[in-house]
Amino acid sequence: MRPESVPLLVVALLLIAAQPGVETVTTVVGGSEDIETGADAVVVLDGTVTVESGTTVDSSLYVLGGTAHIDGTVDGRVVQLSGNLTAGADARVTGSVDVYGGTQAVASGASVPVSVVAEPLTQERSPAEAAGILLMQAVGLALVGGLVGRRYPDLLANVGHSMRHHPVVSGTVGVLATVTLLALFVFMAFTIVLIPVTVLGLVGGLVVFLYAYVCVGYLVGHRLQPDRPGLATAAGAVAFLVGSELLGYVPVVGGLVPLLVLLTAVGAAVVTYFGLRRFQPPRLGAVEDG
Amino acid sequence: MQFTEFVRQRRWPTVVGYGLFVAVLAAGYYYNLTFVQLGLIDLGTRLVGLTRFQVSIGMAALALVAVVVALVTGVALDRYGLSTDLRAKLRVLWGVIVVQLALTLTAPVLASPAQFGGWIVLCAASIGVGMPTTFSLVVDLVPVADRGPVAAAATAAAYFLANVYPTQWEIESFSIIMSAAMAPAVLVLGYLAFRENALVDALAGTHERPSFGIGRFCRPNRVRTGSYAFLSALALMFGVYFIDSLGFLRIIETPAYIYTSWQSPDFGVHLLIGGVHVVTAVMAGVLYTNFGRRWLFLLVFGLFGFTHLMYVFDVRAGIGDAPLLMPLFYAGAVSFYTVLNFAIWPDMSTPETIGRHSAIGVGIAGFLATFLSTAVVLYIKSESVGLARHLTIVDALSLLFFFLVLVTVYAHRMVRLAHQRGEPS
Repeated sequence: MRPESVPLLVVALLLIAAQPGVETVTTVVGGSEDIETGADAVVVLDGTVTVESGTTVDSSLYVLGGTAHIDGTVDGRVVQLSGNLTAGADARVTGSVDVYGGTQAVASGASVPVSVVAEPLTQERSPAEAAGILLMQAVGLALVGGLVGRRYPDLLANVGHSMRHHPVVSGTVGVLATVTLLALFVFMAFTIVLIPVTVLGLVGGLVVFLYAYVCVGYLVGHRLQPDRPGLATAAGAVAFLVGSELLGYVPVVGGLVPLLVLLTAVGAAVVTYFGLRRFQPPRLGAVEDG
Repeated sequence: MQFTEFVRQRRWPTVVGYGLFVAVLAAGYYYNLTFVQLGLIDLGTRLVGLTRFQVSIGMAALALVAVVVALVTGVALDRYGLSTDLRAKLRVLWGVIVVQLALTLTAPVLASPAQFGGWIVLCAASIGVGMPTTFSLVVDLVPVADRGPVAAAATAAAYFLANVYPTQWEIESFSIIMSAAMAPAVLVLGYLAFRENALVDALAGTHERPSFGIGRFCRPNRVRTGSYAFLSALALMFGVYFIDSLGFLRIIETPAYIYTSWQSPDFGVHLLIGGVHVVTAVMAGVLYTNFGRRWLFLLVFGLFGFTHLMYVFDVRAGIGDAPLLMPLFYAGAVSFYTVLNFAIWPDMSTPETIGRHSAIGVGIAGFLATFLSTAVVLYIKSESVGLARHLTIVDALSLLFFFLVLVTVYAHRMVRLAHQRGEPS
């Protein structure tokens, strides 16, 4: 599963949770599958799912990636968030077909009542729009960074210390925690019952990343203005944001470097209990006789 | 790492000592992982004609004999002062390798259950002798500060090789590669053990230096065999091995999972799993060096819990190919605990206790746990328990251990820190 599918998956699972009568969900993450019967909802993350001609599937279909090809009858709802939706001349969908994004190819004669609910989310932004969004992010970060930096400089100092003096440990913990927790929350969402926990977890994850951003900001800004931690953190966070944007123009490395820095900050936050104490790796103690 | 200092100072015997330990440990583990654990199933079922059930009983017997021999060997190593005699340990290891070479060469020609049984007893005895002897080399060859990275290197090498070659779990494939690797090892180890040489002379007294001999958790006070520290580590490691075997023995019998991962016809999948083993072993080496042992146990139980959660989910809901994410997480969890297992027993030991502690640690936590989990798997299968329910039990055990360790470590500590913060200084 591609990482960019995660937000779509959460949205899809929320939609599924809101749909009455859905208790079981199956997922397709790759390869080619013919759907015959099974769960109340089928989520297509990748690969190709086909509803064969002459068959009737009593499941709702959620397309997040890959291709869903309908030649038979879907006795349920079809929701497309991304990917491809194709329908042959004999295709029939009894419920609604809600399209939020992706591409569609519906043959004439197919009974597939497509209703475009929203325009695709991935639109090219104009330079002015991009600058506006960056400005809003910068203002938001500056406010949060300034507030946290002024009230809790000691916490940020501890996280910053771990980033500077123990980057390998912090990076390792950051990568491990992020990958594991992300996968955990996604899998929790599949249980339907735990979707609220997933949403909470992802919100919590965003807060942690925001905190990590602020910590990086503190680390950057503290060098410029050590006496005013609030201002320094705000300026540093904005500088990191703008620097990351500029680095983004460099292929591959440009996106990777800020991500690694942020993951290191996440790891540093974890190993310092979010700054409550300074991280000190164990040292070999002295030896006593006997 | 002290290793880089040794290289800078051109202390070549010490540098070669690192390589020797990694090679011996990785080769021994590779032999155990591939030839014994996987090759034995093929040997028993295909060549000897036993049922899968009978082979499982044979494997359980192997684990039981190995633990008894390991305990006897470990105690003997310490009692007779062999743990502090590098040359004696190398001689014992040479004998073990010679026996294992003979076992490896004769394995493909076994034809009857009696021969199979005798072969298992000899194999178990060689493993039982070899394991504590290999571990006891650490006090001569690896400084305490570098035990995490060295354990990581041995783990990475063993698992990467085991995943990359052989890709077919057949005794003939295992026999060829093992014999080819063991023959030169017999010569090299024989030379080091029986001929006067500068390398062994230079390394022979290293264990007397505290930086090599006294384990990390023996500072300032030695860890006693009956202490809470040792027994709690033993119980946790027992749990890790038990959970791993309980889940893995069932997963490898499920074609939908095994032929898309460890037995995949696609070599790229083998390479990917091997690569994940390497990366996670390195991560584990970093974490072991920088955190207490309970953190790594927490991580291992958490990863096993999560991995089995994914398997359970897939059994119940999946309709497509089994996601590769599951074996990759599994590989990560295995690498983490293997690094921990390689490093923790030497770090709870001194040159006087290394034989006993490593024998108890690996014997009880490793072999006995494997024996018991095999027995439990056989019982569960005889009760016709389905795959989903089986993996749910494994998952529940992992999560229980995870929760117990979590509560005793992080939550307690965080509350304490928060209280300290609130108190006037």
